[in-house]
Amino acid sequence: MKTLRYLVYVLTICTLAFAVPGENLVAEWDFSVKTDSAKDGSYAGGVLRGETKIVDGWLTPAPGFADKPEGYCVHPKQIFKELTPAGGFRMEVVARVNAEVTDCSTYMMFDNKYLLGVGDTRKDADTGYAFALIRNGPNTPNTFYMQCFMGFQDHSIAVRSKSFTLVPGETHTFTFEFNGGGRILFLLDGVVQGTAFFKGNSVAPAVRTAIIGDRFSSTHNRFNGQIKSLKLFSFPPQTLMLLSYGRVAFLRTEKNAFLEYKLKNCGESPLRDIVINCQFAGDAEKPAMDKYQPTGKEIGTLEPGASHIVSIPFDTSRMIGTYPISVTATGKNEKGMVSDSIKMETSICPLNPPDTYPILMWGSDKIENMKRTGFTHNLGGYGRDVLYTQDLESTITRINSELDNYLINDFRHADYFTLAHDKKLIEQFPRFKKDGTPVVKNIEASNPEYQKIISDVAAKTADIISNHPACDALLINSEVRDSTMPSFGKFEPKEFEKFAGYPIPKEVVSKGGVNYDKIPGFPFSRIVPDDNPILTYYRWFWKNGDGWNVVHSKVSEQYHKHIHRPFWSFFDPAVRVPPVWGSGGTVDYLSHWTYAYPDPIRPAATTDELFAMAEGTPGQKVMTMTQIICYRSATAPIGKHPENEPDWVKDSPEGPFITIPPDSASIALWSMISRDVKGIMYHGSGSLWGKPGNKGYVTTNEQTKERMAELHKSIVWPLGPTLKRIPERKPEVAILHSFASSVFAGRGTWGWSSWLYDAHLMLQWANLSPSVIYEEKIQRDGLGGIKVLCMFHCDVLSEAAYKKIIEFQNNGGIIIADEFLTPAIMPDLLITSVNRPPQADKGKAELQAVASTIRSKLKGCYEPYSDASNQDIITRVRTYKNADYLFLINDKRTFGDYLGPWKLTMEKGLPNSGSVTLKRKNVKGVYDLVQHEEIPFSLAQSNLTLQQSFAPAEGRLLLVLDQKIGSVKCKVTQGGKAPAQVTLAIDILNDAFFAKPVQALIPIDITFTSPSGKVLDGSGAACAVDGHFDYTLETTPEPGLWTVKVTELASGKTSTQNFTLK
Amino acid sequence: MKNITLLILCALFGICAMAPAQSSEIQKRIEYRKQLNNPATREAAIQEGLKNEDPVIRKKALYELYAAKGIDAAETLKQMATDPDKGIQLLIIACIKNISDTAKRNEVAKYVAENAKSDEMKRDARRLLTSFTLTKNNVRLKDNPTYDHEVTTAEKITIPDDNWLIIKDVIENGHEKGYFKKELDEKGWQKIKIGAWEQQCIGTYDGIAWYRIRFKAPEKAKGVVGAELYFQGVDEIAWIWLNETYVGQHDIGPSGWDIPFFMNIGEEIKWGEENLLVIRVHDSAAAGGIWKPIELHILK
Repeated sequence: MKTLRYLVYVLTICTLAFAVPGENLVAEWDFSVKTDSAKDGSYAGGVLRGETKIVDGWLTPAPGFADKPEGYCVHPKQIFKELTPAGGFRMEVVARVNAEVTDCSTYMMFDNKYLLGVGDTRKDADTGYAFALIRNGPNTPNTFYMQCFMGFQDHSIAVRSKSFTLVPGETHTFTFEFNGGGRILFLLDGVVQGTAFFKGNSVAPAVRTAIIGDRFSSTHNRFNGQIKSLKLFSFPPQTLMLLSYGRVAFLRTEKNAFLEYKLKNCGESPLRDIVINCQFAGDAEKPAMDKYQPTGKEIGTLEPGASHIVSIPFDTSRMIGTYPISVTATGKNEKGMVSDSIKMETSICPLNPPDTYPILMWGSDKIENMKRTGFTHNLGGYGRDVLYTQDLESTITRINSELDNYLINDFRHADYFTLAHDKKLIEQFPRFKKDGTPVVKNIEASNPEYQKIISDVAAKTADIISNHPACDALLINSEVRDSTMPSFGKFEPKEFEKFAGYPIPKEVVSKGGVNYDKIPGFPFSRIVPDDNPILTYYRWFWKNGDGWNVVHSKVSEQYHKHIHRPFWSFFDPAVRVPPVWGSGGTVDYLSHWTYAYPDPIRPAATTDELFAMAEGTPGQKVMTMTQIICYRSATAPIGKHPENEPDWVKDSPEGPFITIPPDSASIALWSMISRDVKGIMYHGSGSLWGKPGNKGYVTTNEQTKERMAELHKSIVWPLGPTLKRIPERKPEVAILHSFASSVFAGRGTWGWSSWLYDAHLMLQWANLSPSVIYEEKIQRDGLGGIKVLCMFHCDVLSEAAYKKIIEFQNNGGIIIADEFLTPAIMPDLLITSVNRPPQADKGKAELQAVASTIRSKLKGCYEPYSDASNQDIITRVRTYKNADYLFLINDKRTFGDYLGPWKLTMEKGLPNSGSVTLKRKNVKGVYDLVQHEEIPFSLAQSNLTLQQSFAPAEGRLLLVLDQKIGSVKCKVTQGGKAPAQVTLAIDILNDAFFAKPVQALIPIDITFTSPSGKVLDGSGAACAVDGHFDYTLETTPEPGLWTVKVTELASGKTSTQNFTLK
Repeated sequence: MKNITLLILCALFGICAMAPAQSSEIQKRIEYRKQLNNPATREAAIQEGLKNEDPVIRKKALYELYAAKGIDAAETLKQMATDPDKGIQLLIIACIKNISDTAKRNEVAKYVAENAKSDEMKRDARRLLTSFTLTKNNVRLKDNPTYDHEVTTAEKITIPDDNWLIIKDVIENGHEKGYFKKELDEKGWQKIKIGAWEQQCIGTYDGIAWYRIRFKAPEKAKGVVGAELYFQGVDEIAWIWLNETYVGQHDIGPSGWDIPFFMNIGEEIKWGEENLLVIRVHDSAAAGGIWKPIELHILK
């Protein structure tokens, strides 16, 4: 091939190590040779665009950013076909970046592709290629990655290197090498920065002229720096191709770890005697690898076009770190020896602590940001890719690579499986309204064909991630029930008739039910028979009829079927439905998000509703979520300018979703973890780590992330394993969420807001520790240990529930109701519903006034187990055996200077103090689990009394025991030689003469320290159940004196043990 | 034996000491329920309950009476029409609705409509006398809990105030005549402007009248997510149709005459086409009608 020499050709191939046999220099531009351009901008056969100049031998686009053409056009008219080599090729760019950061994060080095998007259907979108340097976000200045865009005639790909740091002004060589068969290698100054694998053999010839230092056309991406030279080499297509296929990152000590490579015969004759070799860099210093290193693994013969996947065991016993690997495959054909090799990095990654408590960012941001704030997981999905990919192998490779990155960064990922909002599927499986028009944004999920597609995609996706510990969770089809509607399409009407024996009642139109006032002959008692056709229809619709619960069960089941390791599925927002069991199907956890205004204790109301919902699915548990975002309209309306308007408004005058106030985040957190939730979540990363602005989620309070980090790391991390084990105490006060009233009177929270939620807050402030109960639970189990039943918005009841409630009342149960109660029931205490005024202090005061009335009228009839001397100290107790876990939340607040001027939420916490009582006598010790210390208490009149002072928005968790914690005992069993398996038997003992393990759930911390003073991964929090915890951990290959320190986090007692490994 | 007696006494004492002293209000209701549950005292309890000072007990007594006697409790319903308790008032209306004999139902309803003390009860009773029963809960997009996006008003367009037609509906059967339909013979309808009808063609009149107007909606622009009508003043009650579809009502009784309100018409509006807006107005006293402009709000 003729070399395109526009400038003086200087052969200076520095990285001979990467030179490919038979390679040919196709083109070179060296801007240091010719330093002047003509007045018309022409330069060495091409044209300098815009303000681009040659400065001291460097191609220098204009500084700053504007969407105007810059860079160097290699020829104004001609398209050189040589610049799109047919097989493999390599591009090397010598350049340096500017210190000044502009709004444009893409620094284009070379482009003849122009349309860079994947899946772009425009003409010629899948031709040519581009090479760019991309700057990461503002929180990580000077970090970049390389990105390559390639068109293969029928599709395009975009692949990237890993991130690296550049010093502005320093010269670097940026290289990518395409092997002509689905593999790209990125190099920075000759050092591998990542390998990407995809489908694609020969890049389709570019139809546009090439530009150096900018994108071909708008939107322009000028190179924000200077380019000294650019070289393009080509090489012939390979006969034997080696591709990395699976994971390259593994947990330390992970069992059955192996690397996977795909060998392909790209030639036209059989390849014989194929052998694959792995070479780990610096193996001389890492002898432990020897025993695993496969040398010369024989593959045999590959016919033309055939491929073979080979698995190579990977030693995970060494230290955490990265290990470069060189893999070479050789074979023979009639022409002689052929070979291919790749260099890449493998990683050994840290283990999780002994036990963890998920803190999920529902969304994503930079991993380091999420980790810094204490998150353990983020969310992102693969299902859609798997459904629509035309190249499953490259999708698998991409997913593995993404998950590897999570593992390397000691972070975990939840897969978001969402094929409910997919436009194509909505068109394919429409849900029809009664008037025959399609329902927007919802599928007729009861269609078996749709269910099969979803099930198959779930199985495939689960299979892909089954081996990767970085992904251990799954969210299915968020928000899909919001847009559901009775379907009058193909399946649902038939299915209902099959179920009920009669067609859908004529009154049914929408999901909202049918108002009883409009139903002729509706019983004036408003007690309806359980088999009322309308009630029957809606019960069927919400449980199984609309198909979504069935779909979610199927997806969850497929993931569990294919993934044989700890893995959890969840569905949210699970209570955007009426109060009837079944939402989410059989997912492991239900969750739901709640906004923390006007009162940050609102997540408690939602969470308690989730418990009521999960009650209907055996084994199902609950997680919960707080929104980081605040709707501007509900907290600081756009355009309203109160006195003392805060400064953040200047930066985000019309920002629609702003940041949750730090004190609200604190109270909301305590509100969540005071319940038996198995994990917590947040949504709205843009309002935490974003910028101020006027679009979408904006960050308007920088303190929030700091507060969240502190709360997560000091409370949730150490106490999480215990928090997720403390059972709920059997409730004594319950709010009935009536399904019949939802159907016939439009009631229910639908997961948003209503008097039902406000009533829940009111009862929290009354210290009545409310729970939520559904009619189905009452019908199935009766009222159990409930002593006070609150019947708000209970206009209509099913007959079976009504009978149980009357029985409850006749047996001494107290009913508190509002004015909407069915006339068939006489309440013991009638209150008037509170139509909450917008001004937050007035709303809270009104609800607290009713709370006072209730407590005062209940006096003598019912006293709660836990109580406080003022309403702003909210108490809640969870109980394990004889141990009480007393949660205290200081909800005393006022208007602050962040959102306070609008008076819609009191976002500033205030100090508070008061006495807290617990109705129990047998108390020997009370422990503050946050401060890890024993605290004083007094016992009087059968009550435990504690004097408590709180900082603003502070929460507290006290452990009340019938015994005192005496000591910590830790027995170590070890192997002799590092690395060794070490087993701990930990006991938290009481202070009795014959000390026994404390029969409680005690939070503990375990820290292993290596002889060199490093804390071993796998250290961290756990929970000693009944005072006992067993733990086995493998050390690293570091001989010497090891230490293990166990701290119980109730009183702070410790035990430190040493052991020696040879 | 002595010890056992002592133990029993102690236990009894313990139980008594633990038994909560019921609060008077709750206790009275519990006691009343017991009387109702006892067949021997039930009848007397109902009769006495009707006069009890506690409205919760009065309501329960009335409920039980009507449940037992049905139409035979009609006189009691009438007698209690002046009860100040709202819960009892609503129960009376529910009972009247439940009377299957139309003549008897109308008789009681008429009595209550004329004699009740509260406006709301009068209104509710009056409604039982008419075949017009349309109600719809119209929820503004911004208040729709299933719509998880910020809503802003991008544009406000005032509906012309001088192209209205009006007709009186003295016997309140305009809905049966299809006054809200597109294809309607508008003979007999009179032109009217926004403003009280007393000062225009209708003159002094209290009762139902219907308004009609055709207006052109703009083309749906990019980013538009809905529309609503903003009524600045309709004296007193309004029922609204757009393009023959019933949209909702502004019905808070006579006090609603000067209270502005919104109607979500996102589903009913025809973008870029002519729309027919029909409003049924009820006025019970003094000035009446659409007396302030109506605006079309385009939402983004």
